[in-house]
Amino acid sequence: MRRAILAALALVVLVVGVADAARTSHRKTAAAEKKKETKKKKKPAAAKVVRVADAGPADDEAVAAEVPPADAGPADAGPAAAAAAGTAQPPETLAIPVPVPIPIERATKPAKVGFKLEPAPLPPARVRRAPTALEVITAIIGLVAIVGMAYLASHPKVQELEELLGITAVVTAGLPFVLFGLIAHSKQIGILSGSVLQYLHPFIPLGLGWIGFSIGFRFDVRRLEALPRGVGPALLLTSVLPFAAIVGACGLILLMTDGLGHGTFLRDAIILGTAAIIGVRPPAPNPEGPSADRIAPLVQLQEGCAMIGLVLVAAFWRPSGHEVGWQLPAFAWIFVTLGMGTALGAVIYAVLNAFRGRAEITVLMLGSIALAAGMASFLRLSPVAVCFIAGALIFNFPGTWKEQVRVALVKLERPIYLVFLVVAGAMWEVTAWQGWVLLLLFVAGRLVGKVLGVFLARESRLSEQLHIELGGLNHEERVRIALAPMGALAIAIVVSAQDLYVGSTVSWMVTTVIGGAVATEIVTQLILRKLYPDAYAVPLATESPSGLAPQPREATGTFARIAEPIDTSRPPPPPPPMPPPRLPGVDRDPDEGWS
Amino acid sequence: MRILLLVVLGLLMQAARQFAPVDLVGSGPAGITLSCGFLLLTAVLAGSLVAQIGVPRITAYLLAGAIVGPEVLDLVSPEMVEGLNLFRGLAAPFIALLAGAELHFPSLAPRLRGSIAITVVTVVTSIAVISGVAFAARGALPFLAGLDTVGALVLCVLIALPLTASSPAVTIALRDDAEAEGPLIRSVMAIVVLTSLLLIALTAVAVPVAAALRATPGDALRVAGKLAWTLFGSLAFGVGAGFGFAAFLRKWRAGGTLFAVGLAFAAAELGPRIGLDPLALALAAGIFLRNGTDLGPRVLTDMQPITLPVYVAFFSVAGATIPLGSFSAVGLGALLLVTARAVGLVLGWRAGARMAGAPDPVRRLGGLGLLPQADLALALAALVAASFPDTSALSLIAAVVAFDALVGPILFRIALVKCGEAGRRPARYRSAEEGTEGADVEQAPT
Repeated sequence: MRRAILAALALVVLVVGVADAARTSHRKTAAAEKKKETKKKKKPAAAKVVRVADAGPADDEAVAAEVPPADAGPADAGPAAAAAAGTAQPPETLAIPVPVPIPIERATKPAKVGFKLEPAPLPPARVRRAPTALEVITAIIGLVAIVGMAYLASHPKVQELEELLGITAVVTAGLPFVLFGLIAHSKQIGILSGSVLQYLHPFIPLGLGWIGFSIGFRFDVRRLEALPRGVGPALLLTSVLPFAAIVGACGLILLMTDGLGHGTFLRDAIILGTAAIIGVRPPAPNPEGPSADRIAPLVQLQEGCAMIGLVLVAAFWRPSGHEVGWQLPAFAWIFVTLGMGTALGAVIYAVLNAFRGRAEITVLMLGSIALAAGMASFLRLSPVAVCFIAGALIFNFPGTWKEQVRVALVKLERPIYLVFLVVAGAMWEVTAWQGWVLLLLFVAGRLVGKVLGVFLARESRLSEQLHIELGGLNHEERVRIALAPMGALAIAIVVSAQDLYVGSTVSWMVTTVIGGAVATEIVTQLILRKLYPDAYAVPLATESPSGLAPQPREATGTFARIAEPIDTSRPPPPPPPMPPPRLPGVDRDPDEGWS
Repeated sequence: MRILLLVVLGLLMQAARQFAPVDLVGSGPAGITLSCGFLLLTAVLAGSLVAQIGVPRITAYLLAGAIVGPEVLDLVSPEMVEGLNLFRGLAAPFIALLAGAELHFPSLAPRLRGSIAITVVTVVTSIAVISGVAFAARGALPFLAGLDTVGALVLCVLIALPLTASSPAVTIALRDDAEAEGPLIRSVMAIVVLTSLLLIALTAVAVPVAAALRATPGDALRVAGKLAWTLFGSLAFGVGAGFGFAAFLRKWRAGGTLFAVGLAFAAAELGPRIGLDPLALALAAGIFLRNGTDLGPRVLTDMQPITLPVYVAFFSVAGATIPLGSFSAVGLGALLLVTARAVGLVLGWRAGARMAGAPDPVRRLGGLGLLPQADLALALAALVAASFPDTSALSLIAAVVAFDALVGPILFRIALVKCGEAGRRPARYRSAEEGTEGADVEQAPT
């Protein structure tokens, strides 16, 4: 399992590195050719040629060798030195060039590992235009409309309609708020004007940070280690194939429509592929009662892969311009991201330990998430990824305050996440047709990739060829993976991209993913009802609109019960017997799993 | 450990600030989010530190904001503070709504006459002392230079109005911070609200009178109409908003918190644009909810979970905007007025309490509860500002308010501890966040 993950990581880095190398060599070649042309046009003035009465070949041209640029990253050969073309001189004269110092091009740019992007978006004007009274009134009307929408959404008739259309899951994830933001910001409606939106814009990094932190706070490393044999590689296969399909298909389209540019087609394709792999259909209700869900850790795997994708994208595609003070190579930014997440996680952990069981937990969590997300966004990194690292670190270290933190995250969800969706919707541009074309490819590629991955996971011949154990999934699990909906994290991934980058393709991605979420849900619901009615289940209403909030400890069994006093009058019960160690090569029951 | 955490947070913030050399980036959404998180954590850590030595947490929140703000360490840039002012603007009416909802007139009825007496005597005494001292020291106050006796006296009275104001927000926050319960805190809370309403009314009368004395009657009428709209319009809109809030709560069981935030947003953003005072509007809404309906306790319960984050955000951002630099500029004048204000309020309270027959601890220590100041004073100062020839009066008022905001809560807490009311607030009123799972949040008594 670990080897498979490392292999996937290496594959991704290889792809990105190859693309970068190709891009860099293309630029170097173009630059070299350009310099040659420029040199031919210019008169040689770099050296004076002094004719001396001596024999020997001499050079009529400038002979001072051009020093290669000092900013060489990967093998920057630079333009070749001008070769001295010896010309025959009359024996009585000898031209000896007198070299004149030529300014060496100093390293003003960082090592060329990574992609240079268009300059960062201009910061907002120093003086904000305050909203007018009319704008505030319309914003208030909009807020009232949100409350009315929430009321209508709970009406039984509306819920019946959602179930009929098969969009219950998407509605539950908060898509109507995205649509509301889109409509409210339109010029015809104008509820959310530009100045009001400017006030609400900080909810974008805050919402992204909340999502990342919540996902990290339920990232239990021990569950991953307890995966039964055969399930892990199968799960990986069902994630890598749709990723590859999306990156291939969408990358090609983006290359054709947007051009090579600064390699942004690859960036966007990776973002779309990352968004595509996420999602597992919840199990159908079991009449005999709840049972262990073996592929529940798949969600964690997918989320972990998504975070890796976000880190790599934010590191390799960096903004440039005078607003950005640090110029580092791409790999350095990976270390900065990891270090920032770890450092912030350590600080938050220390703060929580300093305030055990106090009423300040909610405000501390709000401050911690705002600090981590704001810092990441400030440094043009992914707030989702940085907060994920911090949340995962906090969760996997000991602490008696975990249940309070979980409750605080649940409490913060509605005000932060719903406003985040509204603002994200207001920033969405739906008019670009390219996004809708990409949507078709995206949905088809995702579905085909997952179905193919599930199909291949059954093949014993592939298992023998790859020397890994596949075929650990049962029928219901395969259906749940193949016909998986898209989660709220997919929307967060493209909104994160929108926060980091500018460009028309970014808005295409938002259209693709949001529209794709709806289309995927409709298509998969149709297939489920027709072909796999046993696996069909209406999503249950939960206290979490996004589905990302950490579950109560009864569902995970990982939190300590802090309310129960420790009974010291009796000796502690003996620990449960340890399971026998796994011996390599011993076959195990594929249904033996984590419970 | 907490000191180390503060240092680490400061270093992280400084490191982040190095990334963007252009200060304009700080006013973007990332900068605002970053500074908000930094201020919240710093303020809470500082509050827990000073609580161990008996200093009120809100003083720590103010100090933390002042120290990391643009005037001292500049870890939070002026652009970030400007962006955070939205949250401060939302927090002030939210806290005023809470203060109004705490004021239950039927329970005050037995001593309502006494409360009114204390309020009137205190306000009159304070205005007299402050304006007297300002008039006597008019040589040291540049905005009074060159004025005749009547004109100087009028301006002295005008400047006394905002300086007499106390802060319902700080009183509520101090009560929650000290977990105080008893006759002193109840008296102070009632009189602070009554004082605020009285001062708003007096300002609405005094400013047009001052304008009439200085200019044509037409100007005075216009100003009078504007201020009457501000006062009575705010009260009317507040009652209307309270009515709508009550209707919402009766229809839906949940969502009280959201509606309270929405009401605060409406008061903060809409109010000034149509000439209304957000604090008076929210105060009136809270008073109506508590006294005109039976939903007061439910409103308090719904607002309780987000009260602490609102306090921390409000006071820490307020601290970051304290013009520390103006202290040296206004110097002796501010010190004189701070002293005059304290003397006037304490003496006025004692005289009024003696007339009302208040118990001894209330009579001796209640005046200290009127010392803290915050946004209400600045809002009133903005209303009277047009009457002054230059802006040095506003700087003076801001310096006095800043000093009282820092020192006032400490003195009030001392008073609460001295009379034994600190820590007496029953546990059943505390939030369910305090680690006891499944704790019931019992409603405040009607």
